[in-house]
Amino acid sequence: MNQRARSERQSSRAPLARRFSLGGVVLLAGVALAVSAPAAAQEAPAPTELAAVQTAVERGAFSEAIDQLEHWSDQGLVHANLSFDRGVAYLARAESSARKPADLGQAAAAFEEALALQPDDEEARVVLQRIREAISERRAKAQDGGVVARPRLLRALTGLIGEGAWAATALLGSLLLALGLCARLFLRSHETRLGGSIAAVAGGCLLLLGGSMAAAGRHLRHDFVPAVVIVEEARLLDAEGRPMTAARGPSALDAAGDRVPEGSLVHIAQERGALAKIEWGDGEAWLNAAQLRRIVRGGS
Amino acid sequence: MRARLPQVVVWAGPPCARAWLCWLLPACLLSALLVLSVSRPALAQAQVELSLQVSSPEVAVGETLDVQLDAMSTDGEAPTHPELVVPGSFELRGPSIGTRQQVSITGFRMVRQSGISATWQLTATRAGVYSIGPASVLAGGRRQQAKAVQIRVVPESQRSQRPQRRGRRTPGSPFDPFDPFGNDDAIDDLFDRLRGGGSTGFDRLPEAPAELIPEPLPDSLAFLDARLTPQNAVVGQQLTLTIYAHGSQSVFQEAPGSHEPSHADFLALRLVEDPSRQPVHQYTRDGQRWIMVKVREIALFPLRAGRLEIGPLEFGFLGRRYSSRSAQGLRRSSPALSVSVAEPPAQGRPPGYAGDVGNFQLSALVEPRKISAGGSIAVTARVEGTGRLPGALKLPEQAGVEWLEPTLRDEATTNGTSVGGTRTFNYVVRMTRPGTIDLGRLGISFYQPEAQRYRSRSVELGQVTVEAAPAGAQPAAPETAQSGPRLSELVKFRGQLEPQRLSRPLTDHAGFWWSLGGAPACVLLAAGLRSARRRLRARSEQREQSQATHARRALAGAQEAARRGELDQVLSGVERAIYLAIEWSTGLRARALLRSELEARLQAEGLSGEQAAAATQLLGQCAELRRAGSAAEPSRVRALLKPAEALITPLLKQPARGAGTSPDLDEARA
Repeated sequence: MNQRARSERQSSRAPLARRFSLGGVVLLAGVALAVSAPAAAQEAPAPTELAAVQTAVERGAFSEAIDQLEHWSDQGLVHANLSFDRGVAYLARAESSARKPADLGQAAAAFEEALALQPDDEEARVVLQRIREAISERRAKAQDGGVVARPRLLRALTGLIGEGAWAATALLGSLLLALGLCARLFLRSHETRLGGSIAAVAGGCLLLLGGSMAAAGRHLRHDFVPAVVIVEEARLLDAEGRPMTAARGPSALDAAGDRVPEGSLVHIAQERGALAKIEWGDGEAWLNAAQLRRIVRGGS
Repeated sequence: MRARLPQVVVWAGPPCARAWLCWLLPACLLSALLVLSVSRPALAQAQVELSLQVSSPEVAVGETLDVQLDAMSTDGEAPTHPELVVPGSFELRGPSIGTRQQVSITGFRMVRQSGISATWQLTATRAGVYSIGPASVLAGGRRQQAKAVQIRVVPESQRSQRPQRRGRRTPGSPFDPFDPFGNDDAIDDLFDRLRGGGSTGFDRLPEAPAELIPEPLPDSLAFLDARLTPQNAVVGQQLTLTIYAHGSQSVFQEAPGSHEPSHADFLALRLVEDPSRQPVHQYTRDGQRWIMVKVREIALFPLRAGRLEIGPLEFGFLGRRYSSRSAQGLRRSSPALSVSVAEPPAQGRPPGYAGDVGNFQLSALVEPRKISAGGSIAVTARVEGTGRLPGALKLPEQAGVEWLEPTLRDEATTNGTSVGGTRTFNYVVRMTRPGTIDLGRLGISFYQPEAQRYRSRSVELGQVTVEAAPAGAQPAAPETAQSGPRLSELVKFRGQLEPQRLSRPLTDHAGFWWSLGGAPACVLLAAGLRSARRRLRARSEQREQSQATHARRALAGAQEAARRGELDQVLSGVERAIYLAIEWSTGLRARALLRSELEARLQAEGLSGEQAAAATQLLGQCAELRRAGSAAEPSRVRALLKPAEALITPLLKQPARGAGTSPDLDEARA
């Protein structure tokens, strides 16, 4: 009788356990879904549509291809390969007889976007670098002074290993701190307690450093919008829209640093009417917002 | 009282200087007069006298009007090329030009003038009040203008009622801005009659449309009324800003110095260039007669989306009854306006849409159709329609076909208030590859606000036969001479879209930040709980071992022993309970003291006399009964319990002054 009752209890527990495990799986899946957003809210183009664009590029109808790719971009379709293809089309037109003045800047913006969406895309990284070199060469031939603006310190620090790595460092520090505290507070052995103290101090330092850098990276990502200059050169303005005679801050290495070259990556801090306030070197300046193309980032 | 003498300014210089000044002043005046008399003819030489006259200030529809321009010049060369600006409601014939010579003698000077007299015949086709002119001639290499004159055209039906005024106005009294009707009556009388309602002139003005009269009227003298249509638009769509001037005092003229409305977010095109040529309307409100004239009409094309502002027009009403003493006139401002402008809808937007709004047609012509490689063809595309004309067309690019930058030719037209026209794109297209080339379709996409949808127009360009270049011809130069491969050859089009998941950064999850502090906080929490548990346990143990607890237990043991009849246990329990209670409340170890000195020490430690006496007495009784041993009366032993309890209970309620723990515990700890 007792055995029967026990077996009944066990049999009644089994579905419960299964239910809980199923619930756990569903919960985990939900968390995973929440963590990773879908790639694009818009429906992806059909392979035939993409093939038509590719054909247009191959037969030299670059503007037609660009129109279609820009159309998808305007519709909110975000994909690293589409951005890459847009860069290819702009680059091809820039090197054809149908070139338009801002094609290289647009190509740089497209490859920058592809890289932002897929940071491990080495092809995009290399071609982006080559485009910027080509722009610099062109400016040098035209005897336009090169402008080099160092990024501000906070951005340089957060960019050292990336926001994700800083976040992982903070997590590691937190774990180390917890283990050290455990050893220090709960164990009796003197050596273990000493080791725990050392681990807790190291973990605390890592947590502080990683956490603050991760927070800074998040702040820079949320409060600034990356953009690329898509005109041959964008004149720096003051808050009233008047041209600035010289760049502010010690990072402008060139005396004629009052303009930003085509293809430069800038970060928009604020937009007001037709003006955009950008971070330029370790200072700030304003640009005509129409001279910039905003970069779509993953997860933003 | 002293009389006040008039003040005299006395020249304080030397006498020779005074004499020199007396000679110099008249000399200067004389020379100035001479210079003026000599230079005056020279100034007059550059002048051309112009006068524009009409044969009648009022005609009926279908009647012919003579307009005569007299232009006299004193430089010996007669003006040429007379021109007259006439509203579209007139049929114009002429001019017939005659020459004139005139000699006049003024004082000692003879002035010879030569000139022309140009006459036009105008036939009115529509009723209204119109400005004829300005008329101009070419004189001395410059075009000089005569002022416009205003006439009134009445409907054909009123021709018989109209007084016959075929006579020409007297020379020297051309168009008077205060008298648009050209009445021969006194000017002052004009608006008095208008106001009094007795004038047929006022009544013959066209009635103002009711929808153009604001209710209520914002001013009793004069005001400006600004209207903007439509109220909601998309970027690039035409808006029309119309400003009407309303005046109740008399007919008026625009004073100089008007401040135009600001419209920084718009591209503007003035539709009304000359307000004096606009028809005048009349209406009556509350017995007061008003005149209304359209003074501004501007086509505005929004350049961006948002709530866009249009500033006020500041306008001066110039007229006898408005502000005749001020050149600025009676100043009034139109209200500032705002309009909501949106981007054209994203839904249905065609690829390559460049922001054009309106309604256009496209046509194209290609010639020649047969050329040799390296040659060029001409493609002439013509866009016609309403709206801002497109700046570019969608070109059918392909390899081997190079479209050079087009040259543009515009013919802007205005149909009512709609701006439009024709834009011609002349492309030179270079054909570099031989063969039969299908040029493809030239296209344009635009948004049509009336239909609220996008439309595309395209035109087939057809085929062009490109023959191979002759053997001796130079090959086409490469597009760009550069070393190494092109950048575009380094990257290939990615024709596949792999599924891609864009993960949100870790720092965007609140759980990440909680987890950073969570693990150390859990450890610290566990350590704190452990410490608290230990502390609680120690406190519990301490309470367990306190003298008060032991005293109570001893007393309870004594009571239990009394019930069992174990008298020795009763005595020892009572004694022990009293000693512990004394130690709890005073910190005094009474067991070590002589009984004789116990009462005094207890009082010295703070017990009351009664308590000290009771404690001493009870301890004495305990000792006496213990000595008695088995002979002790049980009743006396039991009788100790109540006074002992009465003594101990208040002592234990006092806070502990001693060690708080029983000597047994202390011994055990030691």
